[in-house]
Amino acid sequence: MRSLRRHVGKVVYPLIALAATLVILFPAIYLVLTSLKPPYDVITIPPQILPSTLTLDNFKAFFGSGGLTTYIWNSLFVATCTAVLSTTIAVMAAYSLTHFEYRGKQLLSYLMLLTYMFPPILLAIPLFLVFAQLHLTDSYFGLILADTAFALPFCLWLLRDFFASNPRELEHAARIDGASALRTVVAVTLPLSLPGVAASLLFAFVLSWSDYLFAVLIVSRQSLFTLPLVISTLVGTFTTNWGMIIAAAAFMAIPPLVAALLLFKYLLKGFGVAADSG
Amino acid sequence: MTDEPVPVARALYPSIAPRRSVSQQVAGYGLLSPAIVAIALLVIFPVGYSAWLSLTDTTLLSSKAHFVGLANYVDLVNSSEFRSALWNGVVYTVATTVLSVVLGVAFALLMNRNFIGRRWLSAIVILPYLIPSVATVLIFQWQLDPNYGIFNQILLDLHLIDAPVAWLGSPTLAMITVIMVSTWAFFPIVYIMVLARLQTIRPSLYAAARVDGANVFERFRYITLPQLRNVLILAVLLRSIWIFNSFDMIWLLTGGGPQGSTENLPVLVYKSVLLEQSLSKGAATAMMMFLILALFSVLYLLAFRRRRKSA
Repeated sequence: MRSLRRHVGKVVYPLIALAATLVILFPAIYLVLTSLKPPYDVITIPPQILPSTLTLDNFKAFFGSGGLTTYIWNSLFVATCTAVLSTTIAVMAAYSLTHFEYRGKQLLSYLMLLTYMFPPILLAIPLFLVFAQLHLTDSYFGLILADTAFALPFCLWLLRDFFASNPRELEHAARIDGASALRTVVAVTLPLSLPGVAASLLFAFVLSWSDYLFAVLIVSRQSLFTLPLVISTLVGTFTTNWGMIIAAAAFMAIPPLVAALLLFKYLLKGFGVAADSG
Repeated sequence: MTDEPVPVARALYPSIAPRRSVSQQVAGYGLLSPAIVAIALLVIFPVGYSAWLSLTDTTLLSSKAHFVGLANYVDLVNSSEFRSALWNGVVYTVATTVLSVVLGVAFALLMNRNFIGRRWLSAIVILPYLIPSVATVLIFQWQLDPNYGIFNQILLDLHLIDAPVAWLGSPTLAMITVIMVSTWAFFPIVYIMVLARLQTIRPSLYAAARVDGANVFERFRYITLPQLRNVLILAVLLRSIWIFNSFDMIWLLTGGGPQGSTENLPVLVYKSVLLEQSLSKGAATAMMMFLILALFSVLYLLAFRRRRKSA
């Protein structure tokens, strides 16, 4: 009897979990299904859940001429630069925090976490003013800097965890074999922390990819718009080409989807550590 | 670099090497400096500058600013716009935090068990948090639409409503909708925090309770819940700070309307700066937000610390 119940549980439980996940993710699933409908089927009264036929026409409109290709490139460029810049700075800082002893270290690392306390909008106004004076508004560089500041504390926190958990003996062995400090970092520390570096890159990328607040403040010239900016201007206008916009939203959700599947492990680990110490 | 053999003791840094040697300090600070510069320039300086702006009468157009003391703050506290935005923000924050915790804990409990496909399912649940807010708002504006929205259709088919509902049409409904959409986007962080904590609870605790005859509810009440206490305290604090500060979702979904019913403080800041072009008012509002949050955090942590001592 008991083993029968256990067997039923083995089948039923995953189904319950699957059903709950499908319900909570329904808005996203419906988005993907609709993006694959023929353009004339996107908005129907009453609405249909399942597509009558599957086609990529909406995506073709999105990528084609008159589409949003410029903004895709803008977003990819800004997000990639943000990922590389914030991860580079975070790798250096995390290495410093885990491998060296110096005065004020603890205070500095607390200070960086404290930055999450401030309302982003509080930072955004002066940043906008200063950037205007430095001619950094309406430039990729300004937006990349702002996004980097936003992503940096988390990247640093993530990487510090990775560097701290590396077996130190391997680095020692490399040093004893005569490798320089720099060589040790490049040949031993970084490869060992590769998942951490990748997670940091991906996280910063997604953060910048999604950013609306800094983008709307810093960028006003349409040719520099990122995807979130251009989509936000397209929504609500009555001539809305819903098929294309829905395809755009589905496309915007791809990096987050990849990040969710690949980063979950590290987020779980990171939050577990934070929750224990908190 | 130096290829000459280094003394073994020094090579075995930092466990044996002299601590806080000059070179350690230099290298340590050197590597950390870009991060310090970035954070000082992009976080600490703006906070100071905001504090200064809030004490002046700076507008986007004026080139000269005059020191006006606390006048902006006095104006703010006396304005009905500020008080209503504060109230809206509190309602929005409390409701969204509570719902996020309920949903986050529910999904964490669901995924804290071994089953086929758990690895992918448990990961994909965090997707709503990572989807760009612009896309989230677009999804809901379209799916909640009274004419062609799928939500009304489903509710009609289930006979839960008789006629399509304009979810963003009336002040009360708009607030409820904003809370629902924000909960959808923010609950995954609570979920991750709680799941991370659940996975550190030793299974032997449950086994022991089972031997003692505790049923599933008793096991939840006397083992799971006490173990989750600290992580929930932390999650509620961090989430409420985050939600209180949240701008994108409300601004894009309703613009603060209808009739200012969903206008919270970040939206007020944005409007003050970009529509009214009053930097000082925006800065003063943002500083007030910061002060309110700081006060709230201190009181909150004190309350729980005291209770922990007396318990």
